[in-house]
Amino acid sequence: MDRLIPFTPDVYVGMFARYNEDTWPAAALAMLLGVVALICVRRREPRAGRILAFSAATFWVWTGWAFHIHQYANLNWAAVIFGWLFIAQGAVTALWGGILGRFAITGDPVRIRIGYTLIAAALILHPLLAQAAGDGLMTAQLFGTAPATAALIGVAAVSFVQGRSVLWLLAWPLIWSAWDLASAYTMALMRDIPLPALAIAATVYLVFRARR
Amino acid sequence: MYRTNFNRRQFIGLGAAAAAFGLAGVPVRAAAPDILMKTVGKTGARIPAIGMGTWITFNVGEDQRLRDQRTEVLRRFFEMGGGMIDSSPMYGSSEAVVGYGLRKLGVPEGLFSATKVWTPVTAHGKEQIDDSFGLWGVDTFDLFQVHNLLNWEDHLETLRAEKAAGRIRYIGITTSHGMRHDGMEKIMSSEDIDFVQLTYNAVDRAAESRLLPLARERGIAVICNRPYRRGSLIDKVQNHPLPAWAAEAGAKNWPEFLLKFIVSHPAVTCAIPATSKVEHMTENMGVLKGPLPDPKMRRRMADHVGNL
Repeated sequence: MDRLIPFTPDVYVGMFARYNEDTWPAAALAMLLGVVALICVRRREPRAGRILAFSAATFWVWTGWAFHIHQYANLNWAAVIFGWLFIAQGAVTALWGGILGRFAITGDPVRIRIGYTLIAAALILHPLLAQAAGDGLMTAQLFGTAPATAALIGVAAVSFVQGRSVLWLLAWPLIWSAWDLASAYTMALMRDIPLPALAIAATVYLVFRARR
Repeated sequence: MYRTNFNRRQFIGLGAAAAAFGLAGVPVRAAAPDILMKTVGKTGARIPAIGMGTWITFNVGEDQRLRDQRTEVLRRFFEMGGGMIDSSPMYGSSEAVVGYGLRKLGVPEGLFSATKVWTPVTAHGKEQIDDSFGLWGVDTFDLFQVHNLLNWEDHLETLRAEKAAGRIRYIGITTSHGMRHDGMEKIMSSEDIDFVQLTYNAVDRAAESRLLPLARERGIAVICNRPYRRGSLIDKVQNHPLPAWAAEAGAKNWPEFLLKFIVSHPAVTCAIPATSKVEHMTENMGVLKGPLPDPKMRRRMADHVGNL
């Protein structure tokens, strides 16, 4: 595992500070987009599913392109592969939920609550962890523009959608989060553990709940 | 290696003069006539027995503060007589950061530039080689290696063409973590190469049985990577006191103990510890001074580390 992490934790953390600075106000716009999507979901707007899908897709594509391919690839050759997989996930999310209209908002209160919880975690948890670790807010993985939060939002989007036919969209978030968790553990970067752990736990729960 | 128009004396003199005026961008290279040099296989060329690896330690991306700090590590390396710097396109931004340091310090006369080609796509190999020249800012490379034997047949052909064109002095192949020794042995036996790079240290000694004797027999220079097992070996031994008899091996501290074990093997040309700290570089380069252990002492050293 350590052969796939060719940098030190401080370099990795510092990269997020530069990324957030370089891409500002992308994170603010992502939050705005997230709020709009959430309001649509809450009001059960007719186009809520499509807006939700396009929002999640935007976060996947942006993170794949801006973070992985243009930032993280400076440190890790594998980031280009990650980037294209993020973009692919964004494309299929947009196609499935946005264009084909397969994102019908669920009436299941448990899935709705899980969705809100994951969104809230994507919004505030990592900034709090980064601050608590003494690294500063600007080193945080911010909403919708960083891999851990994009994955968490991706899981949340699926959680908001009814039925089992959408669960296949959890495959990549699960794989990515497992990788992200293993990386954080290998680097002993405790602040980066809760988000992927939450994404994995939610994914497993959603899959098993759907099978009952 | 990039050749300046200065001879060594002029070079050092200019460095001193520039330092007096506070010019940080001038090459620094201390005269070090009595440091441990080893012969590069059958070529007769000689290089310092301690080089510098860049895996992880020099992969700092665009961070200006860290780039400047790594430049200070480089500066100390050259001040203490260092020559070989080894990198790879696999190491993220390491080649770019080495190039940054070389541009800031100036390219020293003693630089022995070593990097690798690492791609499964043959056509991409040439492009990657050209990229390395740009990243380092050199006109010629002293050594280009096929990283982890990946697509080695095609890449060796490309490297031979580059060598014939005068852009590369030596070519070689690499492995690490004790893997692919069979493949390396086959290539060493059948191909005309100048260098091999492999993992060898006081606890990873698999190379002793076949590869190191074969390297001597074929006149192939040997670079030893992972001398500290990515730090885990040094972390382990430093929990214990240095044995009193270490002085007989010429070692004043644990880094010298571990590195002297490696470079005292007659087949080994140099070890390439990586560090991000100036003080650790000073410790590493201390190996270039003082006596080396004899075979009997080497066995004692390996046994001691193995029993810790």
